[in-house]
Formats: sequence, C-alpha cells, structure tokens
Amino acid sequence: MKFSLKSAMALLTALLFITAGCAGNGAATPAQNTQAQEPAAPAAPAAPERVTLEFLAPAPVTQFNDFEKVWEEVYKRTDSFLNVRVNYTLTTFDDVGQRIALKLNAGEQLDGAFVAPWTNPSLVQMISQGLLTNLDSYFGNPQYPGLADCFPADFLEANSFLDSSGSKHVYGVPFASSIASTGSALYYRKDLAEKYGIGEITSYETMIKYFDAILANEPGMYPFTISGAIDELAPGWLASLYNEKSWTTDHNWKIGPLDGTNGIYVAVGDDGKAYASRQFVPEYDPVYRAMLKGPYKDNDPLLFYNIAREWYTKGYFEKDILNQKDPEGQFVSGKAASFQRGLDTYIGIANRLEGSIAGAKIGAFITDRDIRLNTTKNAGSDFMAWNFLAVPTTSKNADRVMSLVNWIYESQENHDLLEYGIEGEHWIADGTDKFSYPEGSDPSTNYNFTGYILTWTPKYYRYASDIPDNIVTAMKKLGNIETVYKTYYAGFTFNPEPVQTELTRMNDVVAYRRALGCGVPEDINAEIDRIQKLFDEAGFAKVAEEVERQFNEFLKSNPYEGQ
Amino acid sequence: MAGQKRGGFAKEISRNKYLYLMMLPGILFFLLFNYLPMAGLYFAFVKYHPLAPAFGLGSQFVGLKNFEYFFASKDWLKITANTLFLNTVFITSGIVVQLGLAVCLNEMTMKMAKKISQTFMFLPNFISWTVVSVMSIALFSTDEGIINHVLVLFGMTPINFYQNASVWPTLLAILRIWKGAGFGSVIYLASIAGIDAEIYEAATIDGASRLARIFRITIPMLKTTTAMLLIMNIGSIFYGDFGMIYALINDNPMLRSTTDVIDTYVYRALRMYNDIGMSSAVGLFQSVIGFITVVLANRVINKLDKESALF
Repeated sequence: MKFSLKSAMALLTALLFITAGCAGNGAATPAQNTQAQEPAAPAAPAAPERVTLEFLAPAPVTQFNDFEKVWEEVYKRTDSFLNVRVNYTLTTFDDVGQRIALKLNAGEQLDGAFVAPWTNPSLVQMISQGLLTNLDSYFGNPQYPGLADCFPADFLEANSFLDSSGSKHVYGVPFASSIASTGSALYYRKDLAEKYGIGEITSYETMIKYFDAILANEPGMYPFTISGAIDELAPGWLASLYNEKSWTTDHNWKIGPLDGTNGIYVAVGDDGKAYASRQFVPEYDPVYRAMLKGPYKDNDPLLFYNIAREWYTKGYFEKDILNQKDPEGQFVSGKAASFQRGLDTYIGIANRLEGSIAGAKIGAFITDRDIRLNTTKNAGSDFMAWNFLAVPTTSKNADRVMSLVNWIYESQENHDLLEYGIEGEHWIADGTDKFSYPEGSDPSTNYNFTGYILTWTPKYYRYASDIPDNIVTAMKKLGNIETVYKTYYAGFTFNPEPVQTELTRMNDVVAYRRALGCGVPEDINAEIDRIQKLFDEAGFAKVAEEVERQFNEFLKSNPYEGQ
Repeated sequence: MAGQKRGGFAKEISRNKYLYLMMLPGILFFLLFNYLPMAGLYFAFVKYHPLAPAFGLGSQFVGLKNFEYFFASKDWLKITANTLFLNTVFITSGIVVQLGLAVCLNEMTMKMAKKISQTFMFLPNFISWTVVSVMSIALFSTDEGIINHVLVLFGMTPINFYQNASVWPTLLAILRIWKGAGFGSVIYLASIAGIDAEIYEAATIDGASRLARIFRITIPMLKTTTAMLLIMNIGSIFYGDFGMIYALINDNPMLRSTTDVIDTYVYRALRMYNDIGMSSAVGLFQSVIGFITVVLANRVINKLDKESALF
C-alpha cells in the first residue's frame, strides 16, 4: 500500500514536471512578451508560409453576408506576399471581452482580439495583465506605410495606454470613422412618426411626443429601448440629450466618469489641481460641486434620475429592462420604436430595419445639441477611438496580423474591398467619400461587414449616399479637428492595478447603479443612499483617491488649458 | 524489507493483472481529471498570469491576498447562506419528487402510458437553461408574460416577477424539478427494479394494500439509494447552479437578495478583471467547506443507519 501511494505520487510529480517543462519551454515570460516586437518586413519577395489567423470580434450578426467571397478576393490580391487566411469568430458586444480573456487563459490561438475601453475586461485591464502586444514599432515605420499614413502621431498619442511599468504604448490599432468623436443619435421609425403627424424628431419635446404617440397607438411596441443589462439611461445618456455642456464654456469637468464604469468623476480647480468626487452622484460632494462652473453648478443632481423614473413608470420602455441585452434587435424587429447608437452605424441599422420590416423607414435624431445646431468648439473630444484590434502576447503571428492591417490601410481600394465589398456587386462608388448600393440589391443579404472591427479610418471612410445630409454634416464636423475642442482628460488612462481588490468589490455594486439609472427603484433618494453606502464599503474613497492621484500626475505634463 | 514489499506488490499485480487492467481506465480517468487538476489549487495563492511558466503556476506567490476581496466583503456570509439555502431546497425537493415519480411510474401497469409519461418527464432534461430562460421570460415577463396576461384577464394586479426577489427561490425550484426530476428518477426506477419481487408477492398474500406496499416495502428499500444520492448532492451543496441562475436571472440586481450564490457573485465581480487567482480562492473555499459537509453528512447517516453510509 505504501509502495503504491509512493508510486502514484512519483507518477503525479513526474507528470507535473513534464507539463511544467513543456510550458516552460514554450511560453515566454510576461516580461519578454510585453516588450515591443521587432517587426519583420511586411512584403517579402517570396510568399511566406501560409498561416490561418484567428480573430475574435463583436458584431450585431452571427455571420457577415458574402464574407467568404470578399475574403477570397483579398487572398487573391495578397497571397503572393501575405499568404494568410483569416478566421473570424463573432460574438455579442457584452460577451466579447470575456470570450477573449477565456481564450487567452485557455491557451487557445488568438491573433486578432477586439478590445475597447468598454469591454469586460477592458483594454487597460488587459494591458495591465500583460496580455496584449506592444505595437509601437509598427507605427511610423516605413516598412508599414499604410499604418504610417492612416494613423498620425497625435491620434496614436491619444490612443496609447499605460502599461504596468507606467509607460505609454500603442496596444491596439485604433478604429474610428472620425478623428474626434462619433456622435450619437436616437434611431427611430420615421414611417411611424409621419403616420402619427409628428414628422421628424427635431428636439427633446418632439421626441417625447413620438414616445407618447407610440404608447397610445402601437400596442406591443415600446417607444424606446436600451441595453439595460449593460447601460444606464441616467445620468449619462439623458445628460447628453439635454446637453448641459452648452450651458457653460468652461469644461473643467467631464459629463461622465473619468475611469469608465466604476463611476469616479473628476473636476479640475482654478489652481490646476484635480479633485475626484467621493460620491457616485458627484454633485453630492460639496468640494466637487464648488469646482463646477456656470449654470451647471446649480443644476439638480437628480434631474436625470427623475426623468429615467418617469420614463419607466410611463412605460416608455419595458418593465424588465434590466434583462434587456439587445436593443438593436428589438428595434429592427419592431418590438421597440427607438434606441440610441453612434451616428456612424446609421447605414447598418437602416439596412437591418428596412430589410426586416416592410414599409419601415429609418429616422435619426442627433442627440448632441451642439452638433445638431452646428455650433463651433462646443463639442469636446479626447480623440480616443472606441474600438481597437489588439494582438495577444500569446500570438505567434503579430507580424502577419500587422502586415495584413497595413495592407488594408495602404490604399483606398484595399480598404474599400474589405469595408464595402466587391465594387459593382456590393457597392458603387459615389465620388471620393460616398457610396451607394447597386439597384435591386437586397440590404438584408448584401455584404454587411462592420468596419469598426478592422477597417475604419477617417482617411478612407465613405458615407452611404442614403445617409441624410444633416448626419453627414455632423459626422464631417466631428471628423474635423478644427471644430471640436480637446478635453482636459485627453490622453489620460487610469491604471486600475493599485486598487484592484476595491474595484472588484465596487464592480458588484455597479449593477444597482444601473437599475437606478434605468429608473427601476421607486424611492430614488433612499436608493442613492443605499448604493453610496455599498460603494463606500467596497472602497469607493480609496479608488477616488487613486484616480485623483494618477490624474494629478497626468496634469503635471498635460496641464488644464482652460478649454 | 522494501524489496520484499515490492515483490509482494509485483506478485499481487501479476496475480490479478486482468483485474488491474480493467481498473486502469478508471484510475487514469480520476488521475487525469480529478487529481492532476488539484495542482491548480495553488492558483488561489498566486497573482495569476496566463503567460507564466507551468500553465501559470509559476506566477508570483501572494499568500492569502486573493481571499481578501471575497471575505472582506460582508456579503460573503449572505451569499454562502443563499447558496446553502437554494441547494437545500433543490436537493430535498429534487429527491422527494424524483422518488415520488419513480414510485408512480413503477405502479403504472399500462405499458404504453408508462412509456409516454417517461418520455414527457425525460424530455425537459435535454432543453438547455438558455432555452428555458426564453420560456421563463414568455411566462413571467411583466409586460407580456402569459401569467400576467391571465392575471390581468381576471382583473388582478400583474406581478413584477423580475423585480420581486422573494418569488425566485420557489420559481427556481419548480423549474429545476420540471427540468431534472424526470431524468433523475431513473436511478430510483433502477433501484426499484432490483427489489426482489418475492417480497411484494409475500406482502400481497399477507393482504398488504398497494399503499402499504409502497410505504412499507418500496420506499424503505430505497433508503440506501436515497442516502447515497443525498451525500453525493451534499458534496456540491456550496456550488451554486451557475448555468441555471445566470440564464434565468442574468445580472438583475433586483433579484440578488435571494438568488445571488457564490458562483454568480464571483462571476460578476471578476468578469471585469478575469482574475484566475481570486476565482480559484473562492473555488478552494467551496471545495473545503463542501468536503467538510460531506464528511459530516456521512457521519450523521452512519449514526442513523450504518449500512446507508458511503464510507
């Protein structure tokens, strides 16, 4: 018996050593992996050995139409020097971060990972864990002319992130259709707005009229929907709709939290020093409130929570909103009459809606008033992209991925092939910055690749001819660095490492804030008190102090310029 | 001395080589899938890095730091209590219903009816929780759920199921029984089939009624099976049914007070940070208290009825 136990232990130990040895030989240390990789030349004279690149990204569909056909064309043009095959796995927006993290932890091959400040885990968290490859050396490199052309140094600077050693690097290819901000719109059913005599939604008031008309006349359809499983209606979304930013020209505070989902709000005082509110409803902290400028200083902090509650009780959206994950799906299937999304997704949403409901017509109400009214330098931007392609440190194909990306950005023609499909079959060029669909093409079966996962760049971006002029004007305005101001936090990224335990606990409280932001709890004041207590127990103050400390460090080299 | 033992061992192997050969797949299975992964318990004490050597085991040692986030929160007791309560409800209701169904099926004499009933009872087991969640939305949705439509039809006030935490332990138990009890009754049916038919014949001759035969023969004869199932279920009493709860409840904060179990809490807290060290720490906590509970449950059963105890 003694012997058999010893043997079993010996066998177990041997197995452990063997497996440990295997991993030890094959896996690089984190330190080695976080170093910038030395890029190889993208265009070697002879075709390199073929590799299949595994990509994972979010999309509103499970499969892109004619995807294989378009990629076959890409392969035809690139096999002589790239010789890659691309395998895309598509998933949902709320799931993408976790799918990527799980794949990396399980040691599965992944060469192109979609990461963003809003994914879970976020881009910054993945960087701090050493999961993403430093891509500095690929940009501004003459061997990668496409990248050098489409990603100017200023834009890259704003899209660089701190790693665990405290230095800033590019960890993802930033995709944006405009250099500043994408702007957002309330997408609605224009056919229904016309049917009920509202015509077009042009203001907050007409929007409410539209909601009321839907509520009264369209049983089984909600006037509005939101992804309650992820997003909050108040204060952010409603605040943007009201656009308080126009109430003051002093932008020493941010309309939303500075550190992403945890909810730390930071303002910069007259002495140039930052202060982070210790309350999750930031104006409840008197020090923070005193730092605000203009009429906003006296604004009711509960205004947007009250509106959210009013919308909830009136039935503007479903009662079980906290379980809702797919607002776009609800909208295009006719279950909801409106929802919010970026201006740049106009054509995709229009195609889905009009392809699935006969007679439906898309309408878009630009929710940011300053952009809608075309005022200058009142819309701010941190020039940060909202979507990135990263190469995991586990990938052996960083050079191949970046060579492929470089090829896409080398010419308008290459870019257009992947973003819009085969010219003449999937789309027709309309000048240099517009495109249309061939006559008789069916939007529900036409090529529908989503550029934000691989191809978006302001340089080559084409607007669909069907997009109304006001949307194109707004997008162009947002794409012009001259018409927007640079926010005081542009270039700042929060490193969560020092307060990770507190953030983990705070993350558990965020869902209660989400319920409050969606107007679900009846007693708003009592709920705010309860949530603040939970946040305090989780370590809110410690996180606020850390955000404040890091931001004050940032201000030393990037002082507030009174923007 | 050692040589003698080795010789003894070799002799034993050689004598029963075919028996040991038959055991080999089982031993290898447990070694590979149950014992070897135990090395992963070490993750609970490191700052896990997926790229560290030895599948991450070479990550930096941090002692008990990974346990901090869970135990520093005062929620851990409540979450543990929820896990225990829900699983106790699931286990007891499951065993009672499974046993009842098996007895009922056994008493059915019409072969056709028995087969049809069995098929309908087994069928829900093959439906995934995700599909069940869609069905539950169709049933319990506040605005469009069938139940609320019926309530409104009879002039009653609709129930906000997805905001009313108190109804969910019952709903979860019902859904779980609906889905799994039919399939779970197979073990009892097999045990019943193994009961000597002569016992029933003797009882019938002695004038025992059908009910008396059920309560005096069938159910007592299932005691050992019930004890075994109970101990095995108790082993995982601190593991919440994540698949079920997350599919049905999702991340709905309004229902947390009664439905938040260790697994959902850990998933929610760590999905942002994907920290394997912290999740391993909670996994270790679940395993240790699960192990203690199994030993205690077995000891209690041992005292009540020695033959029914597992070890």
